[in-house]
Amino acid sequence: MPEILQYDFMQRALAGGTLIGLLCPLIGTFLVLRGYALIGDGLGHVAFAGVGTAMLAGLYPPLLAGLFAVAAALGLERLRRRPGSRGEIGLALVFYAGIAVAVIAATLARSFNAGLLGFLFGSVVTIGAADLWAIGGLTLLVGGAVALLGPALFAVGIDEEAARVAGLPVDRLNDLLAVSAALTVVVGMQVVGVLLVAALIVVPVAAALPLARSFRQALLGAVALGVLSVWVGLGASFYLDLAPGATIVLAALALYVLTSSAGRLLRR
Amino acid sequence: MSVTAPAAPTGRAAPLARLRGVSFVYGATPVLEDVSLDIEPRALVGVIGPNGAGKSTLLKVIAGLLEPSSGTVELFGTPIARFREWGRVGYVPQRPRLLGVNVPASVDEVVSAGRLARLGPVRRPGAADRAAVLDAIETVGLSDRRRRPIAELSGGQQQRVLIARALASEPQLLLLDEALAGVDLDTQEDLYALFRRLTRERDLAVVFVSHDVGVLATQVTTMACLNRRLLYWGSPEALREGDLFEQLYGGASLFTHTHLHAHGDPGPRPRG
Repeated sequence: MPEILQYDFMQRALAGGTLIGLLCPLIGTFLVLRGYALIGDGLGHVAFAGVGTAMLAGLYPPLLAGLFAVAAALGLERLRRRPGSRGEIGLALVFYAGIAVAVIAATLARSFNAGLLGFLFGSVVTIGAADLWAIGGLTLLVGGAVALLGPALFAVGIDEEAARVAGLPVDRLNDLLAVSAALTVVVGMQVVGVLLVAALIVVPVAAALPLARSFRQALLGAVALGVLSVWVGLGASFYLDLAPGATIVLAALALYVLTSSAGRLLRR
Repeated sequence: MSVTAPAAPTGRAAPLARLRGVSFVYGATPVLEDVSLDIEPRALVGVIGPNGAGKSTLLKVIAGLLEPSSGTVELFGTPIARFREWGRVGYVPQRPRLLGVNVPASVDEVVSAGRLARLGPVRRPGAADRAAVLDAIETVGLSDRRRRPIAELSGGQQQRVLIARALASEPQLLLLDEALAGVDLDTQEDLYALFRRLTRERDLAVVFVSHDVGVLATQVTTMACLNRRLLYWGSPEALREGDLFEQLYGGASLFTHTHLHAHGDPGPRPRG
């Protein structure tokens, strides 16, 4: 057995990281299709405010983070539906409100460094058994939803008006995607931190695009590259003694550089 | 007012779409006022009118995307609020948002999305659904590009993908909102010929909204002139004889356009 697998904490990191590497690009591909690449980052800010508020009020942080993020995701979705809405600005306002509330609440609770930074940067090597269950459950749920409703989510993503005329429940499908994104961010941030979750929602998808010739290929490619980034990043961080979350993000970015260069070569 | 299209062989059923006294107000601005019309099977209707006349709004009201401020809309004899058989209505939007799609999507995938109008969000496609998708792609002449990402297609080909997507649900009423704008003339001609064929073979009715009045007038069975109100509904020939067009457009001539075949119904033309 290679050294990396001899430690319990690394086994759990690999298992949890693999699930996150699978879950984030799965949701991310549909988000990128709709032009929402940055919503993971934004919902992270809002969840962060939930964590800060929970610390101040002495409540269970993941619960409040989840409530804040789901409420923000659904609220933004409704804002976007208004005719003539400038969704992008609304997005920015909600997100900056989130981070400001987070910092003030955590400072008042005097736990800025101790608690909050853990959620910001997290650490994939401190995953516990309960975390694994949470990630596993959510991955199953979201994976099942995508398997069942993937074609409908795709139809809404490419053309919302046509999907409405086709009689699809467009608003409910959009809500489902928004809530899935919020839950992914909240569960993921406790385990690997906001930075890694938001990055894994976008970067593997970006890496899959240059070589994909269909949406299906993009989706499967993004998931494969997400898992590969986690494996490569964890391995490198273990042997080179680097921060695991950031190394995983760099691995995903390196894969992006590889695939986009390959894409350019192929198109020549 | 009623379309003068030949009745379906099975006799007169309910019109595919029936509007009665439909008005639509956007904010405080009236966009449509008191529009009543029937669209019968096999009709080819061309909707013309100046900018801001409410042409796209009219189509969106028929497609159920906008709810009229007053008046009633029936689709296939059912009030639109209770209408559920959306597979019978195909809609091709004004601007192909597909052009800006952020993730690659193949022709096959985009056209298959149209079939969900029959399948609903959950049901898996069966053999008949696959056949309908392949048939729609074949109909618009893109079979050899089925697996291509749409980003690799020309603008005209992308427009055909959108038409195939609408055809994939085997609609009886097809609504095209400026769907031929920016398509090269040869392709436009092919598509008009295709629509004429579909009206015969499938009892399809097609409603076109277009700026290109000259082309439209040579291709449709019914012209509808809209300027908030429906000012004319009838044959293109009768429109040619009246002076309504000059009133609408202020002197510009309807039938001296150099586009396409201003000299009447084009037969099949050899490709150079």
